[in-house]
Amino acid sequence: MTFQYTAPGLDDLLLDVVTVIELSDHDREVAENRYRQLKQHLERPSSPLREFLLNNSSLIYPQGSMAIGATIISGIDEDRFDVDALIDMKVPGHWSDDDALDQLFVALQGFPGARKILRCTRCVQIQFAFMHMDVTILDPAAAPRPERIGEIFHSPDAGPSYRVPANPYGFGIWFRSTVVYPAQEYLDEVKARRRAYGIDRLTPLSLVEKAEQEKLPPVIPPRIDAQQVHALKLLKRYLNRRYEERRLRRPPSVYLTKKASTCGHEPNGLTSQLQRLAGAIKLDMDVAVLINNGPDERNPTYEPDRLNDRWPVTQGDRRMLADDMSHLIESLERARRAEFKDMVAIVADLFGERVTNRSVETFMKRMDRRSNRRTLHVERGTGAIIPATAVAAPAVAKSAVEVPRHNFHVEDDREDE
Amino acid sequence: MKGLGYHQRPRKLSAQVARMNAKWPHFAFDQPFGTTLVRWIGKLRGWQKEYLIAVLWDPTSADRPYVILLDPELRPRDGGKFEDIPHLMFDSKDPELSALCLFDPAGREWTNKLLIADTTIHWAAEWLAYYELWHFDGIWRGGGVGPESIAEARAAALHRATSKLP
Repeated sequence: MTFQYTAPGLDDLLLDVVTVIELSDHDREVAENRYRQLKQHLERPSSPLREFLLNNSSLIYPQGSMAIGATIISGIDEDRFDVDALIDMKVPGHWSDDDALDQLFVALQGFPGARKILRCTRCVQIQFAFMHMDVTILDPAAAPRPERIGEIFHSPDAGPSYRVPANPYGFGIWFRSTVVYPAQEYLDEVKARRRAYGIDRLTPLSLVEKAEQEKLPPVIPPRIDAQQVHALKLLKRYLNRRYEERRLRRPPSVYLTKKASTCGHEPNGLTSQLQRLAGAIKLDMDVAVLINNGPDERNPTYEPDRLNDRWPVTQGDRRMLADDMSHLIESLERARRAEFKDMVAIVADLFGERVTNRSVETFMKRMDRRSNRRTLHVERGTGAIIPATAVAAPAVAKSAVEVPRHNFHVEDDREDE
Repeated sequence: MKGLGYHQRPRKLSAQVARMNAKWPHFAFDQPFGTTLVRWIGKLRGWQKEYLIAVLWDPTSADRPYVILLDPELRPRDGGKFEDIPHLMFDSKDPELSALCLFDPAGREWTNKLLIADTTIHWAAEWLAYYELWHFDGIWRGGGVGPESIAEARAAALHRATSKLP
Protein backbone atom coordinates (compact mmCIF):
# COMPACT_ATOMS: atom_id res chain seq x y z
CA MET A 1 0.00 0.00 0.00
CA THR A 2 1.43 3.36 -0.97
CA PHE A 3 0.29 6.31 1.08
CA GLN A 4 0.64 9.85 -0.16
CA TYR A 5 4.07 11.27 0.56
CA THR A 6 2.80 14.01 2.81
CA ALA A 7 3.35 14.82 6.49
CA PRO A 8 0.81 17.40 7.66
CA GLY A 9 1.36 16.76 11.40
CA LEU A 10 5.14 16.87 11.18
CA ASP A 11 5.03 19.89 8.85
CA ASP A 12 2.92 21.76 11.38
CA LEU A 13 5.24 20.95 14.28
CA LEU A 14 8.28 22.00 12.22
CA LEU A 15 6.59 25.31 11.45
CA ASP A 16 6.30 25.84 15.21
CA VAL A 17 10.02 25.14 15.52
CA VAL A 18 10.64 27.83 12.89
CA THR A 19 8.69 30.44 14.87
CA VAL A 20 10.60 29.51 18.04
CA ILE A 21 14.09 29.79 16.51
CA GLU A 22 13.60 33.05 14.60
CA LEU A 23 13.64 36.66 15.75
CA SER A 24 10.34 37.85 17.16
CA ASP A 25 8.83 41.11 15.91
CA HIS A 26 10.20 42.78 19.03
CA ASP A 27 13.71 41.37 18.43
CA ARG A 28 13.63 42.66 14.89
CA GLU A 29 12.71 46.10 16.18
CA VAL A 30 15.72 46.09 18.53
CA ALA A 31 18.02 44.85 15.77
CA GLU A 32 16.65 47.52 13.45
CA ASN A 33 17.52 50.16 16.01
CA ARG A 34 21.11 48.91 16.19
CA TYR A 35 21.51 49.14 12.43
CA ARG A 36 20.41 52.76 12.72
CA GLN A 37 22.75 53.47 15.60
CA LEU A 38 25.57 52.12 13.46
CA LYS A 39 25.22 55.01 11.04
CA GLN A 40 25.00 57.60 13.83
CA HIS A 41 27.97 56.14 15.66
CA LEU A 42 30.24 55.88 12.63
CA GLU A 43 29.38 59.44 11.58
CA ARG A 44 30.06 60.99 14.99
CA PRO A 45 32.72 63.75 14.97
CA SER A 46 35.46 61.59 16.52
CA SER A 47 34.94 58.66 14.11
CA PRO A 48 37.87 58.02 11.73
CA LEU A 49 35.31 56.98 9.09
CA ARG A 50 33.20 60.15 9.39
CA GLU A 51 34.64 61.96 6.39
CA PHE A 52 34.15 58.93 4.14
CA LEU A 53 30.58 58.34 5.24
CA LEU A 54 29.34 61.91 5.04
CA ASN A 55 28.82 61.88 1.32
CA ASN A 56 25.85 60.95 -0.76
CA SER A 57 27.15 57.66 -2.07
CA SER A 58 27.84 55.79 1.21
CA LEU A 59 25.28 53.32 2.51
CA ILE A 60 24.81 51.09 5.55
CA TYR A 61 22.49 48.10 5.17
CA PRO A 62 21.89 44.56 6.42
CA GLN A 63 23.42 41.65 4.57
CA GLY A 64 23.33 37.88 4.94
CA SER A 65 20.42 36.27 6.77
CA MET A 66 18.98 39.62 7.89
CA ALA A 67 18.68 40.75 4.28
CA ILE A 68 16.57 37.73 3.43
CA GLY A 69 14.69 37.39 6.73
CA ALA A 70 16.28 34.05 7.66
CA THR A 71 18.04 34.96 10.91
CA ILE A 72 17.77 32.34 13.64
CA ILE A 73 19.18 31.89 17.13
CA SER A 74 22.83 30.87 17.01
CA GLY A 75 23.55 29.61 20.50
CA ILE A 76 22.47 26.19 21.69
CA ASP A 77 22.38 26.95 25.41
CA GLU A 78 21.67 30.66 25.03
CA ASP A 79 19.52 32.37 22.43
CA ARG A 80 21.94 34.57 20.53
CA PHE A 81 21.36 36.17 17.15
CA ASP A 82 24.19 36.81 14.71
CA VAL A 83 23.40 39.56 12.23
CA ASP A 84 25.51 41.21 9.53
CA ALA A 85 25.86 44.81 8.42
CA LEU A 86 27.61 46.20 5.40
CA ILE A 87 29.16 49.65 5.12
CA ASP A 88 29.25 50.51 1.44
CA MET A 89 31.89 53.25 1.45
CA LYS A 90 34.59 54.52 -0.90
CA VAL A 91 37.87 53.53 0.73
CA PRO A 92 40.80 55.97 0.25
CA GLY A 93 43.28 54.80 -2.36
CA HIS A 94 46.23 54.96 0.02
CA TRP A 95 44.72 52.55 2.57
CA SER A 96 46.20 49.05 2.68
CA ASP A 97 43.94 45.99 2.63
CA ASP A 98 44.23 45.89 6.43
CA ASP A 99 43.44 49.54 7.04
CA ALA A 100 39.72 49.40 6.32
CA LEU A 101 38.93 46.91 9.10
CA ASP A 102 41.53 48.49 11.42
CA GLN A 103 39.84 51.88 11.03
CA LEU A 104 36.41 50.31 11.41
CA PHE A 105 37.54 48.65 14.64
CA VAL A 106 38.63 52.04 16.01
CA ALA A 107 35.48 53.75 14.81
CA LEU A 108 33.20 51.21 16.50
CA GLN A 109 34.72 51.67 19.95
CA GLY A 110 32.17 52.96 22.43
CA PHE A 111 29.20 51.63 20.46
CA PRO A 112 26.10 51.89 22.72
CA GLY A 113 25.31 48.62 24.49
CA ALA A 114 28.40 46.80 23.17
CA ARG A 115 29.97 44.38 25.61
CA LYS A 116 32.94 43.54 23.44
CA ILE A 117 34.30 44.49 20.02
CA LEU A 118 36.44 42.02 18.07
CA ARG A 119 38.54 42.51 14.95
CA CYS A 120 37.97 39.43 12.75
CA THR A 121 39.39 38.40 9.36
CA ARG A 122 36.61 39.92 7.23
CA CYS A 123 34.58 41.96 9.70
CA VAL A 124 34.50 43.66 13.06
CA GLN A 125 32.15 41.95 15.47
CA ILE A 126 30.15 43.95 18.02
CA GLN A 127 28.92 41.73 20.85
CA PHE A 128 25.73 42.76 22.64
CA ALA A 129 23.70 40.79 25.14
CA PHE A 130 21.99 38.07 23.05
CA MET A 131 23.20 39.52 19.76
CA HIS A 132 26.39 39.75 17.71
CA MET A 133 26.65 42.12 14.79
CA ASP A 134 29.35 41.48 12.16
CA VAL A 135 30.18 44.74 10.39
CA THR A 136 32.01 44.66 7.05
CA ILE A 137 33.26 47.39 4.74
CA LEU A 138 32.58 47.09 1.02
CA ASP A 139 34.64 49.28 -1.29
CA PRO A 140 32.41 50.06 -4.28
CA ALA A 141 33.54 49.12 -7.78
CA ALA A 142 34.62 51.93 -10.10
CA ALA A 143 31.97 53.70 -12.17
CA PRO A 144 29.98 52.73 -14.14
CA ARG A 145 29.14 50.51 -11.20
CA PRO A 146 26.61 47.70 -11.45
CA GLU A 147 24.35 48.11 -8.42
CA ARG A 148 26.24 47.70 -5.12
CA ILE A 149 29.06 45.57 -6.52
CA GLY A 150 32.42 46.00 -4.81
CA GLU A 151 35.16 44.36 -2.77
CA ILE A 152 35.37 43.37 0.86
CA PHE A 153 38.63 42.92 2.74
CA HIS A 154 40.22 39.65 3.78
CA SER A 155 42.63 40.73 6.51
CA PRO A 156 43.87 37.92 8.77
CA ASP A 157 46.19 38.20 11.77
CA ALA A 158 48.81 36.21 9.89
CA GLY A 159 49.26 35.77 6.15
CA PRO A 160 48.56 38.08 3.24
CA SER A 161 45.60 40.41 3.06
CA TYR A 162 43.61 40.80 -0.12
CA ARG A 163 40.34 42.05 -1.57
CA VAL A 164 37.39 39.76 -2.34
CA PRO A 165 34.78 40.57 -5.04
CA ALA A 166 31.32 40.69 -3.51
CA ASN A 167 27.74 41.71 -4.09
CA PRO A 168 25.73 40.65 -1.04
CA TYR A 169 22.97 43.14 -1.82
CA GLY A 170 22.45 41.64 -5.27
CA PHE A 171 22.42 38.16 -3.78
CA GLY A 172 19.65 39.14 -1.34
CA ILE A 173 17.56 40.64 -4.14
CA TRP A 174 18.12 37.53 -6.29
CA PHE A 175 17.09 35.22 -3.43
CA ARG A 176 13.94 37.18 -2.70
CA SER A 177 12.94 37.04 -6.35
CA THR A 178 13.51 33.30 -6.82
CA VAL A 179 11.76 31.59 -3.88
CA VAL A 180 8.15 30.51 -4.27
CA TYR A 181 5.77 32.65 -2.22
CA PRO A 182 2.74 31.11 -0.48
CA ALA A 183 -0.88 32.21 -0.44
CA GLN A 184 -2.09 35.00 1.84
CA GLU A 185 -3.82 32.55 4.25
CA TYR A 186 -0.45 30.91 4.88
CA LEU A 187 1.14 34.27 5.70
CA ASP A 188 -1.76 35.17 8.00
CA GLU A 189 -1.51 31.90 9.92
CA VAL A 190 2.27 32.23 10.39
CA LYS A 191 1.86 35.82 11.58
CA ALA A 192 -0.83 34.74 14.04
CA ARG A 193 1.45 32.03 15.47
CA ARG A 194 4.30 34.48 15.73
CA ARG A 195 2.13 36.91 17.68
CA ALA A 196 0.75 34.18 19.94
CA TYR A 197 3.90 32.21 20.62
CA GLY A 198 6.90 34.35 19.61
CA ILE A 199 9.70 34.78 22.14
CA ASP A 200 11.23 38.20 22.77
CA ARG A 201 14.92 37.83 23.59
CA LEU A 202 16.55 41.22 23.14
CA THR A 203 16.46 44.03 25.69
CA PRO A 204 13.51 46.36 25.04
CA LEU A 205 14.07 49.73 23.41
CA SER A 206 13.85 52.84 25.52
CA LEU A 207 10.88 55.09 24.89
CA VAL A 208 13.18 57.72 23.39
CA GLU A 209 14.71 55.22 20.97
CA LYS A 210 11.31 53.96 19.98
CA ALA A 211 9.89 57.42 19.34
CA GLU A 212 12.87 58.29 17.21
CA GLN A 213 12.70 55.08 15.26
CA GLU A 214 9.13 55.49 14.11
CA LYS A 215 10.06 58.56 12.09
CA LEU A 216 12.40 56.58 9.86
CA PRO A 217 11.78 54.10 7.06
CA PRO A 218 12.72 50.49 7.92
CA VAL A 219 16.32 49.39 7.47
CA ILE A 220 15.68 45.63 7.74
CA PRO A 221 13.73 44.18 4.82
CA PRO A 222 10.61 42.21 5.77
CA ARG A 223 10.81 38.50 6.52
CA ILE A 224 10.12 36.02 3.75
CA ASP A 225 7.57 33.50 4.97
CA ALA A 226 8.22 31.11 2.12
CA GLN A 227 8.55 27.38 2.64
CA GLN A 228 12.09 27.41 1.18
CA VAL A 229 13.14 30.02 3.77
CA HIS A 230 11.57 28.03 6.59
CA ALA A 231 13.48 24.95 5.44
CA LEU A 232 16.67 27.02 5.38
CA LYS A 233 16.09 28.18 8.96
CA LEU A 234 15.61 24.59 10.10
CA LEU A 235 18.71 23.45 8.24
CA LYS A 236 20.81 26.21 9.81
CA ARG A 237 19.53 25.36 13.26
CA TYR A 238 20.32 21.68 12.69
CA LEU A 239 23.87 22.50 11.53
CA ASN A 240 24.41 24.85 14.49
CA ARG A 241 23.81 21.89 16.74
CA ARG A 242 25.90 19.46 14.71
CA TYR A 243 28.90 21.80 14.53
CA GLU A 244 28.73 23.09 18.07
CA GLU A 245 31.21 20.61 19.49
CA ARG A 246 33.36 20.33 16.36
CA ARG A 247 36.56 22.16 15.66
CA LEU A 248 35.79 22.29 11.95
CA ARG A 249 34.83 25.41 10.03
CA ARG A 250 31.11 25.52 9.27
CA PRO A 251 29.67 25.59 5.77
CA PRO A 252 28.96 29.20 4.82
CA SER A 253 25.42 30.36 5.33
CA VAL A 254 25.36 32.03 1.92
CA TYR A 255 26.08 28.69 0.20
CA LEU A 256 23.20 27.03 2.09
CA THR A 257 20.99 29.99 1.20
CA LYS A 258 21.68 29.64 -2.50
CA LYS A 259 20.89 25.91 -2.32
CA ALA A 260 17.61 26.70 -0.52
CA SER A 261 16.51 28.54 -3.62
CA THR A 262 18.06 26.46 -6.41
CA CYS A 263 16.88 23.14 -4.97
CA GLY A 264 13.36 24.21 -5.97
CA HIS A 265 9.97 24.31 -4.30
CA GLU A 266 8.42 21.15 -2.88
CA PRO A 267 4.61 20.90 -3.14
CA ASN A 268 4.42 18.14 -0.49
CA GLY A 269 5.20 20.42 2.45
CA LEU A 270 7.92 21.64 4.81
CA THR A 271 9.30 18.20 5.72
CA SER A 272 9.71 17.35 2.05
CA GLN A 273 11.22 20.80 1.41
CA LEU A 274 13.84 20.24 4.10
CA GLN A 275 14.62 16.77 2.77
CA ARG A 276 14.88 18.19 -0.74
CA LEU A 277 17.33 20.87 0.42
CA ALA A 278 19.41 18.35 2.38
CA GLY A 279 19.38 16.02 -0.63
CA ALA A 280 20.67 18.77 -2.95
CA ILE A 281 23.52 19.63 -0.56
CA LYS A 282 24.39 15.96 -0.08
CA LEU A 283 24.59 15.50 -3.84
CA ASP A 284 26.92 18.53 -4.07
CA MET A 285 29.15 17.07 -1.38
CA ASP A 286 29.19 13.57 -2.89
CA VAL A 287 30.28 14.96 -6.26
CA ALA A 288 32.87 17.22 -4.63
CA VAL A 289 34.32 14.27 -2.70
CA LEU A 290 34.50 12.24 -5.89
CA ILE A 291 36.50 14.87 -7.77
CA ASN A 292 38.23 16.23 -4.66
CA ASN A 293 37.19 19.72 -5.66
CA GLY A 294 34.39 22.20 -5.06
CA PRO A 295 31.63 22.99 -4.80
CA ASP A 296 32.21 26.39 -6.30
CA GLU A 297 28.86 28.17 -6.15
CA ARG A 298 28.81 31.74 -7.42
CA ASN A 299 26.64 34.72 -6.64
CA PRO A 300 24.06 34.63 -9.47
CA THR A 301 24.19 38.43 -9.72
CA TYR A 302 27.98 38.69 -9.77
CA GLU A 303 30.02 35.76 -11.08
CA PRO A 304 33.35 36.74 -9.43
CA ASP A 305 31.68 36.54 -5.98
CA ARG A 306 32.56 32.96 -4.91
CA LEU A 307 30.29 31.70 -2.16
CA ASN A 308 32.59 28.79 -1.29
CA ASP A 309 35.86 30.71 -1.32
CA ARG A 310 36.74 29.63 2.24
CA TRP A 311 34.83 26.36 2.57
CA PRO A 312 35.22 23.43 2.02
CA VAL A 313 38.97 23.12 2.40
CA THR A 314 39.40 19.37 2.95
CA GLN A 315 37.71 16.14 1.94
CA GLY A 316 36.82 15.82 5.63
CA ASP A 317 34.77 19.04 5.42
CA ARG A 318 32.83 17.62 2.49
CA ARG A 319 32.29 14.18 4.01
CA MET A 320 31.16 15.66 7.31
CA LEU A 321 28.45 17.74 5.66
CA ALA A 322 27.38 14.82 3.45
CA ASP A 323 27.02 12.64 6.56
CA ASP A 324 25.06 15.37 8.33
CA MET A 325 22.67 15.61 5.40
CA SER A 326 22.21 11.83 5.36
CA HIS A 327 21.42 11.88 9.07
CA LEU A 328 18.91 14.68 8.60
CA ILE A 329 17.15 12.97 5.69
CA GLU A 330 17.00 9.60 7.48
CA SER A 331 15.76 11.17 10.72
CA LEU A 332 12.96 12.98 8.93
CA GLU A 333 12.08 9.77 7.13
CA ARG A 334 11.71 8.02 10.51
CA ALA A 335 9.69 10.93 11.87
CA ARG A 336 7.27 10.58 8.95
CA ARG A 337 6.31 7.11 10.15
CA ALA A 338 6.63 7.64 13.90
CA GLU A 339 3.93 8.08 16.51
CA PHE A 340 3.79 11.51 18.09
CA LYS A 341 6.09 10.92 21.08
CA ASP A 342 8.79 9.38 18.89
CA MET A 343 8.32 12.15 16.37
CA VAL A 344 8.97 14.70 19.12
CA ALA A 345 12.11 12.83 20.22
CA ILE A 346 13.45 12.92 16.65
CA VAL A 347 12.68 16.63 16.30
CA ALA A 348 14.45 17.27 19.64
CA ASP A 349 17.50 15.36 18.44
CA LEU A 350 17.61 17.44 15.26
CA PHE A 351 16.82 20.93 16.55
CA GLY A 352 17.38 20.82 20.31
CA GLU A 353 15.33 19.80 23.29
CA ARG A 354 14.64 23.32 24.59
CA VAL A 355 13.41 24.54 21.22
CA THR A 356 11.33 21.41 20.69
CA ASN A 357 9.71 21.58 24.13
CA ARG A 358 8.61 25.11 23.41
CA SER A 359 7.30 24.09 19.98
CA VAL A 360 5.38 21.13 21.37
CA GLU A 361 3.85 23.36 24.02
CA THR A 362 2.45 25.72 21.37
CA PHE A 363 1.36 22.81 19.18
CA MET A 364 -0.54 21.23 22.09
CA LYS A 365 -2.27 24.50 22.93
CA ARG A 366 -3.56 24.79 19.39
CA MET A 367 -4.71 21.17 19.29
CA ASP A 368 -6.57 21.25 22.60
CA ARG A 369 -10.28 20.92 21.86
CA ARG A 370 -11.24 21.19 25.50
CA SER A 371 -10.69 24.93 25.33
CA ASN A 372 -10.98 25.40 21.60
CA ARG A 373 -13.83 24.00 19.53
CA ARG A 374 -11.99 24.31 16.25
CA THR A 375 -12.95 21.88 13.54
CA LEU A 376 -10.18 19.64 12.29
CA HIS A 377 -9.60 18.37 8.79
CA VAL A 378 -8.30 15.04 7.59
CA GLU A 379 -6.36 14.23 4.47
CA ARG A 380 -8.58 12.23 2.15
CA GLY A 381 -7.20 8.75 1.56
CA THR A 382 -4.81 8.59 4.53
CA GLY A 383 -6.82 10.09 7.39
CA ALA A 384 -3.84 12.21 8.52
CA ILE A 385 -5.03 15.07 10.69
CA ILE A 386 -4.31 18.49 9.19
CA PRO A 387 -3.80 20.81 12.15
CA ALA A 388 -4.14 24.00 10.07
CA THR A 389 -5.21 23.88 6.44
CA ALA A 390 -3.88 27.41 5.81
CA VAL A 391 -0.28 26.27 6.31
CA ALA A 392 -0.71 22.78 4.91
CA ALA A 393 1.17 21.87 1.75
CA PRO A 394 -0.82 22.44 -1.47
CA ALA A 395 -0.89 18.67 -2.01
CA VAL A 396 -2.47 18.23 1.44
CA ALA A 397 -4.81 21.23 1.42
CA LYS A 398 -6.50 20.16 -1.81
CA SER A 399 -7.52 16.84 -0.25
CA ALA A 400 -8.57 18.25 3.13
CA VAL A 401 -11.99 17.14 4.36
CA GLU A 402 -13.67 18.62 7.41
CA VAL A 403 -14.31 16.18 10.24
CA PRO A 404 -18.03 16.18 11.11
CA ARG A 405 -18.80 17.36 14.61
CA HIS A 406 -19.01 14.63 17.21
CA ASN A 407 -18.23 13.92 20.84
CA PHE A 408 -16.03 11.09 22.02
CA HIS A 409 -17.73 8.89 24.59
CA VAL A 410 -17.14 5.90 26.88
CA GLU A 411 -19.07 2.62 27.18
CA ASP A 412 -18.46 -0.10 29.74
CA ASP A 413 -19.38 -3.70 28.90
CA ARG A 414 -19.89 -4.38 32.64
CA GLU A 415 -22.94 -2.17 32.56
CA ASP A 416 -24.55 -4.88 30.42
CA GLU A 417 -23.87 -7.59 33.00
CA MET B 1 -25.55 17.79 11.70
CA LYS B 2 -23.63 20.33 9.63
CA GLY B 3 -22.22 19.11 6.34
CA LEU B 4 -23.51 15.57 6.50
CA GLY B 5 -25.66 14.10 3.75
CA TYR B 6 -28.52 12.59 5.70
CA HIS B 7 -30.58 10.11 3.76
CA GLN B 8 -34.28 9.44 4.14
CA ARG B 9 -33.77 5.72 4.67
CA PRO B 10 -30.91 3.62 6.08
CA ARG B 11 -28.02 3.44 3.67
CA LYS B 12 -27.74 0.20 1.73
CA LEU B 13 -24.59 -1.86 2.03
CA SER B 14 -23.84 -1.21 -1.65
CA ALA B 15 -23.90 2.55 -1.01
CA GLN B 16 -21.57 2.20 1.96
CA VAL B 17 -19.16 0.01 -0.02
CA ALA B 18 -19.19 2.38 -3.01
CA ARG B 19 -18.47 5.39 -0.82
CA MET B 20 -15.67 3.61 1.03
CA ASN B 21 -14.09 2.57 -2.28
CA ALA B 22 -14.27 6.14 -3.53
CA LYS B 23 -13.00 7.93 -0.44
CA TRP B 24 -10.77 5.35 1.24
CA PRO B 25 -9.49 3.16 -1.58
CA HIS B 26 -6.82 1.60 0.67
CA PHE B 27 -9.52 -0.19 2.65
CA ALA B 28 -10.42 -3.76 1.62
CA PHE B 29 -13.99 -4.97 2.06
CA ASP B 30 -15.03 -8.51 2.96
CA GLN B 31 -17.76 -10.51 4.69
CA PRO B 32 -15.68 -13.21 6.39
CA PHE B 33 -17.81 -14.39 9.30
CA GLY B 34 -20.61 -16.29 7.56
CA THR B 35 -23.07 -13.84 9.07
CA THR B 36 -24.48 -10.48 8.02
CA LEU B 37 -21.50 -8.77 9.65
CA VAL B 38 -19.23 -7.03 7.12
CA ARG B 39 -15.69 -5.71 7.53
CA TRP B 40 -13.35 -3.14 6.03
CA ILE B 41 -9.65 -3.40 6.80
CA GLY B 42 -7.20 -0.66 5.94
CA LYS B 43 -4.51 1.74 7.07
CA LEU B 44 -5.27 5.06 8.65
CA ARG B 45 -3.03 7.78 10.08
CA GLY B 46 -3.71 10.07 13.00
CA TRP B 47 -0.55 12.14 12.80
CA GLN B 48 2.19 10.33 10.94
CA LYS B 49 2.08 6.72 12.04
CA GLU B 50 -0.02 4.25 10.09
CA TYR B 51 -2.44 2.00 11.97
CA LEU B 52 -4.13 -1.03 10.51
CA ILE B 53 -7.75 -0.83 11.59
CA ALA B 54 -10.89 -2.89 11.12
CA VAL B 55 -14.37 -1.43 10.75
CA LEU B 56 -17.11 -3.96 11.58
CA TRP B 57 -20.73 -3.29 10.77
CA ASP B 58 -24.01 -5.17 10.47
CA PRO B 59 -26.00 -3.56 7.64
CA THR B 60 -29.15 -5.41 8.68
CA SER B 61 -29.29 -3.74 12.08
CA ALA B 62 -29.39 -0.14 13.27
CA ASP B 63 -26.27 -0.72 15.31
CA ARG B 64 -23.22 1.46 14.87
CA PRO B 65 -19.98 0.49 13.14
CA TYR B 66 -17.20 -0.73 15.45
CA VAL B 67 -13.59 0.36 14.91
CA ILE B 68 -10.79 -1.81 16.29
CA LEU B 69 -7.02 -1.33 16.13
CA LEU B 70 -5.29 -4.36 14.61
CA ASP B 71 -1.68 -3.27 14.19
CA PRO B 72 -0.33 -1.90 16.38
CA GLU B 73 -2.87 -3.05 18.90
CA LEU B 74 -4.39 -0.79 21.49
CA ARG B 75 -1.94 -0.27 24.34
CA PRO B 76 -1.98 1.59 27.67
CA ARG B 77 0.65 4.16 28.62
CA ASP B 78 3.82 2.72 30.16
CA GLY B 79 2.91 1.47 33.63
CA GLY B 80 -0.79 2.15 33.03
CA LYS B 81 -3.86 -0.04 32.48
CA PHE B 82 -6.18 -0.57 29.52
CA GLU B 83 -8.95 0.91 31.63
CA ASP B 84 -7.11 4.25 31.56
CA ILE B 85 -7.23 4.55 27.77
CA PRO B 86 -9.72 7.30 26.93
CA HIS B 87 -12.93 6.86 24.98
CA LEU B 88 -13.34 3.15 24.39
CA MET B 89 -16.27 0.76 24.21
CA PHE B 90 -14.48 -1.34 26.74
CA ASP B 91 -14.11 -5.09 26.29
CA SER B 92 -13.18 -6.44 29.73
CA LYS B 93 -12.32 -9.90 28.38
CA ASP B 94 -10.05 -8.75 25.53
CA PRO B 95 -9.31 -5.10 26.31
CA GLU B 96 -6.88 -4.75 23.39
CA LEU B 97 -9.89 -5.48 21.14
CA SER B 98 -11.99 -2.71 22.67
CA ALA B 99 -13.65 -0.60 20.00
CA LEU B 100 -13.12 3.15 19.83
CA CYS B 101 -16.06 5.11 21.26
CA LEU B 102 -16.30 7.76 18.61
CA PHE B 103 -19.59 9.51 19.33
CA ASP B 104 -22.25 10.08 21.91
CA PRO B 105 -25.21 7.75 21.23
CA ALA B 106 -27.49 10.06 23.18
CA GLY B 107 -26.57 12.89 20.82
CA ARG B 108 -27.58 10.79 17.79
CA GLU B 109 -24.34 11.77 16.09
CA TRP B 110 -24.41 8.61 14.01
CA THR B 111 -27.35 6.77 12.46
CA ASN B 112 -27.37 4.20 9.69
CA LYS B 113 -28.67 6.92 7.39
CA LEU B 114 -25.13 8.29 7.34
CA LEU B 115 -22.11 7.07 5.41
CA ILE B 116 -19.31 5.35 7.31
CA ALA B 117 -16.75 6.81 4.89
CA ASP B 118 -17.83 10.35 5.80
CA THR B 119 -18.18 9.91 9.55
CA THR B 120 -16.70 6.87 11.29
CA ILE B 121 -13.39 6.90 9.43
CA HIS B 122 -12.84 10.63 10.04
CA TRP B 123 -13.64 10.24 13.72
CA ALA B 124 -11.30 7.24 14.00
CA ALA B 125 -8.46 9.30 12.46
CA GLU B 126 -9.13 12.04 14.97
CA TRP B 127 -9.24 9.52 17.82
CA LEU B 128 -5.84 8.16 16.73
CA ALA B 129 -4.34 11.65 16.72
CA TYR B 130 -5.54 12.41 20.25
CA TYR B 131 -4.58 8.91 21.40
CA GLU B 132 -0.98 9.64 20.36
CA LEU B 133 -1.00 12.98 22.19
CA TRP B 134 -2.38 11.15 25.22
CA HIS B 135 0.46 8.64 25.01
CA PHE B 136 2.88 11.58 24.96
CA ASP B 137 1.84 13.19 28.24
CA GLY B 138 -1.31 11.48 29.54
CA ILE B 139 -3.65 14.34 28.64
CA TRP B 140 -6.67 13.72 26.40
CA ARG B 141 -7.14 16.89 24.38
CA GLY B 142 -9.89 15.62 22.10
CA GLY B 143 -12.79 16.54 24.37
CA GLY B 144 -15.86 14.32 24.73
CA VAL B 145 -18.91 13.87 26.91
CA GLY B 146 -19.12 11.99 30.21
CA PRO B 147 -16.18 10.29 31.84
CA GLU B 148 -12.92 10.15 29.92
CA SER B 149 -12.10 6.48 30.48
CA ILE B 150 -13.53 3.28 31.87
CA ALA B 151 -11.35 3.69 34.95
CA GLU B 152 -12.90 7.09 35.53
CA ALA B 153 -16.43 5.81 34.83
CA ARG B 154 -16.03 2.87 37.22
CA ALA B 155 -14.54 5.09 39.93
CA ALA B 156 -17.50 7.45 39.59
CA ALA B 157 -19.96 4.52 39.72
CA LEU B 158 -18.25 3.14 42.81
CA HIS B 159 -18.36 6.55 44.45
CA ARG B 160 -22.08 6.85 43.69
CA ALA B 161 -22.75 3.35 45.05
CA THR B 162 -20.77 3.86 48.26
CA SER B 163 -22.21 7.29 48.92
CA LYS B 164 -25.67 5.69 48.99
CA LEU B 165 -24.61 3.26 51.70
CA PRO B 166 -26.01 4.01 55.13
